[in-house]
Amino acid sequence: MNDSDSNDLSTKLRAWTVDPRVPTSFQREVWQRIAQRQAVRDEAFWPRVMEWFSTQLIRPRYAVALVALSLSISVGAGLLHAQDANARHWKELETRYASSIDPLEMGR
Amino acid sequence: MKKAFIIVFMASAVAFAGYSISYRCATAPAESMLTKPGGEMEWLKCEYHLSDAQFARIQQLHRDYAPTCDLMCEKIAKANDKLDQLVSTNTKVTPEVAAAMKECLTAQAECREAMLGHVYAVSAEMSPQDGVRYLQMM
Repeated sequence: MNDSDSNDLSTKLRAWTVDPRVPTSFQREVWQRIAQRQAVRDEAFWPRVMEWFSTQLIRPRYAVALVALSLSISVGAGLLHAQDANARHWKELETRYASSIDPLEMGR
Repeated sequence: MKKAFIIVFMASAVAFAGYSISYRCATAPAESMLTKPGGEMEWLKCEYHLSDAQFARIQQLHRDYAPTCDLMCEKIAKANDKLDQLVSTNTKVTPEVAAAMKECLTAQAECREAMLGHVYAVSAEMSPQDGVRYLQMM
């Protein structure tokens, strides 16, 4: 490369200006595209969850884990509920005993 | 997908069965005491940790006390009836009304005395701690 070529290039580079033209609807279109992609992703979420669920759940260890978890939660809930019922029954039996030896109660 | 639904259904069925069985098993003793006649005596045995011998003695005390209790009940009912009759037929406190009121109070006092005697006798058959708890309950 000789000197005159180099000077030409320098002149051209100096004269070169970048004038980016952004369309007026650029921002709106970007947001539209983001919204579209979000919608597509949202629509695909539940089918994906269901698919994942159905593929994982048929594995024996997950199936057994689910059954075991359901059983423990339900037994726990049953025992907890039974505590309340037993407390009510116990109170009723206490009242019945007290009434059985109290003539004033029996006379009413 | 079908297999997964079957597994979910099975888990739900197991959960339902687990809940029902655990609830029934845990409430069965108290339920049976409630429905049985004389269940309150069984309750007393459980609540105050009575041995078979203690329970037998307390049951005997209960049987001995029952006629007294019935008699007191009758006496109170009669005294109350008499007072009610006198109150409704009189317009002021006559000596008869006052006597009927005294009779009511006497019957109630006698009843309380008999009951207290029974309560003390029962608590004496229990362990000291349970005896105190029983007296507090009564």
